[in-house]
Amino acid sequence: MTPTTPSRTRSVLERLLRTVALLGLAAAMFLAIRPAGPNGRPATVLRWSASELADSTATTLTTAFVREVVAAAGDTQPRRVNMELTAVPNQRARGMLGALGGAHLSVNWIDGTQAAGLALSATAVAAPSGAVDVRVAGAHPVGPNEASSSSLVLRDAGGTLDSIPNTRRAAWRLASVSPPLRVLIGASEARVPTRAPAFTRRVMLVAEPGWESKFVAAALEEAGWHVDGSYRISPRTAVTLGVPGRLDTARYAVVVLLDSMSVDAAAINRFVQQGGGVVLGGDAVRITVLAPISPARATTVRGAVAGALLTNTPQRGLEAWELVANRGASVVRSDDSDHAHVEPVLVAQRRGPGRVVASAYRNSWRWRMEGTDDGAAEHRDWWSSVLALAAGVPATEGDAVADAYPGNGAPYADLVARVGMPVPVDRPAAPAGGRALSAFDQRLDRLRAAPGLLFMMIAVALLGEWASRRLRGNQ
Amino acid sequence: MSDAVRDSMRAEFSDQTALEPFVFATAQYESGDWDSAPMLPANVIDSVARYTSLPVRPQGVSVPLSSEAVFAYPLLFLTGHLPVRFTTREADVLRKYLVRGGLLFVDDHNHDVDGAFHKTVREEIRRVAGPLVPLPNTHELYCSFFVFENGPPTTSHEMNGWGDNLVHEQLDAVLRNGRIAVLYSSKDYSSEWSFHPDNKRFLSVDNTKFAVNLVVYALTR
Repeated sequence: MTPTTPSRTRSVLERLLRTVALLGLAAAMFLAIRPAGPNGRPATVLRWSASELADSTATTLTTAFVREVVAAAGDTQPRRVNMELTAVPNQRARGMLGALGGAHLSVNWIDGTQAAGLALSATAVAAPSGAVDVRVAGAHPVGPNEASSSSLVLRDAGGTLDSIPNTRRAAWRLASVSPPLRVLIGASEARVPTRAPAFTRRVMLVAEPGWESKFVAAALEEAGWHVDGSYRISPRTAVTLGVPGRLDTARYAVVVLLDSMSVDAAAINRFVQQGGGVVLGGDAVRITVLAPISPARATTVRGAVAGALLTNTPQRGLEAWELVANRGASVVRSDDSDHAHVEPVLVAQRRGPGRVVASAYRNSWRWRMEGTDDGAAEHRDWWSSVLALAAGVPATEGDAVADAYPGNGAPYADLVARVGMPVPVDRPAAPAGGRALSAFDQRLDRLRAAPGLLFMMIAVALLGEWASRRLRGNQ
Repeated sequence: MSDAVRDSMRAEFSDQTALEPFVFATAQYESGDWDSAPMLPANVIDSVARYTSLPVRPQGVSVPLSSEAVFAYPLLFLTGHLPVRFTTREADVLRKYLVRGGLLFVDDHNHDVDGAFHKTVREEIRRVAGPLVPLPNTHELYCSFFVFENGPPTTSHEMNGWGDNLVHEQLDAVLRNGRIAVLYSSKDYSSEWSFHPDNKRFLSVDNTKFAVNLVVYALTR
């Protein structure tokens, strides 16, 4: 075939195909020379299954991890590891993953666990009942895989305690718990080792004989407190309640003063300095010798609102001292008043290791006797809450021993704390402590992920140019 | 603490606060004769004031059992001779009164276990509060102020053979949460404590001392 002079269009096409082929070859050479990853080193992609993460020990996981990293990276030291976790790793695996950061190896992980942040707190109520206040808060779903309709399940060693569908926040007051207490939402789990604190359940009641002292003692006894007291009935006769003894924190958790003038201020001060709790109820907020430890100053008596005992705000039907909280004291509860201001009715303050609480209500027994049918329970709950403020709950010894690794309480949160937040699956990876991938890096990664495409592009370009030249007679 | 110091503190405290005085309350009920012992409140009040330092209001009150006003008086006295049938309202109020912690003291003014009051009021108590059971003579009621080693003191009506001609060894009670909710007496304290102040019959042995125990028990337990 006699070679012909190519047309201008054909010449441009052949040059274009040649250029594409040369560019493809240049790109292949560049990819071969330029290491992958934002730090210029190859990335290793590992995938760990739920069973591997749950069953592996640190030794086996570390061995497998190193083997896979070395195999994937050749003899080049990796700087970044991409992982997809399909379950929350166990304690040792989390420790190992966290240790990678110390070796300057960042971990990008894709969250396939379907778990989310979950917080569980269990606080022992300072009451003889041994009740525990439990609060749960879970993060909102963060990924498409996470079911937003998972039930919130509360369990202890005895089994399931409660289950609430379609919620991520809940609170309970549990009468008793067999530790450990666990909460689960989908694949998320949090756990706390609860224990009933060992503290005395005895209260000293210092009051004059009367309906107030009678019904306060009754309310406290119904709540499980052992009440000791001594009432002076006549100048030479006193009636005792329980077995009153020396005011000492080894014997009493709280001393409740109502309206007695027979107050041994030195003993009460000593009791507070030992860590005891003091409740100044009603007229006791006016006991002069206790003013130095009182959390509030009582000014005048607020009159009772007639008929209010039978409403849904029965407290307004009680006379109460107007309290002015001292500096450093906390107003725990206030009443809406008919005046232009809210009125503190429960004020608490720490006094060294002890606590002092002032309760404004006078003759609170009327709440129980003259209120609604719920009045007795409300009166009991009120005094229980007042004592819970004053009574200190000692920290439960043994928790640290029983569960030395605090991260086990919330494994997912511990994982995030150790290796950083997971990489959102619909966004470019942002390694913890590293920079985000550039658009160029992303394109390169895509090219690297599809080498056949590059080869096809070069081959088609070269074949096209060759075919064009042959068809017009050139060799 | 010395008495002088205590007295000065009491004076200071009293300026700032006012301890509620004890008020003796008698229950009015629609059936029967609730006011059969009109002198009793004054004598009980006198004894409480005389033997104790408890603040006590000089006059007692009478409160309809059908009224929620009874809730303001956690110790309530009920007596009579005639058959007792609580109205629905009275039974409802009394039931709430006892649940909330009130103490009802019922005394048979007939001193007669075959009498109409005894039979009917015990039936009413059973209906409202549950069955009455014998109160042990070692109960703290008998040592809450004065000590009655042999349980409830006898009355002159028991000793003189009136009524059922029996000396009742024990009182009966309905207990709630370890406390006496209803105290029932067949001993006729209504007659024993309802005497005229000029009556010299009890000058040697004051028979109202047990009433002081009852008031002190109600105020402290």
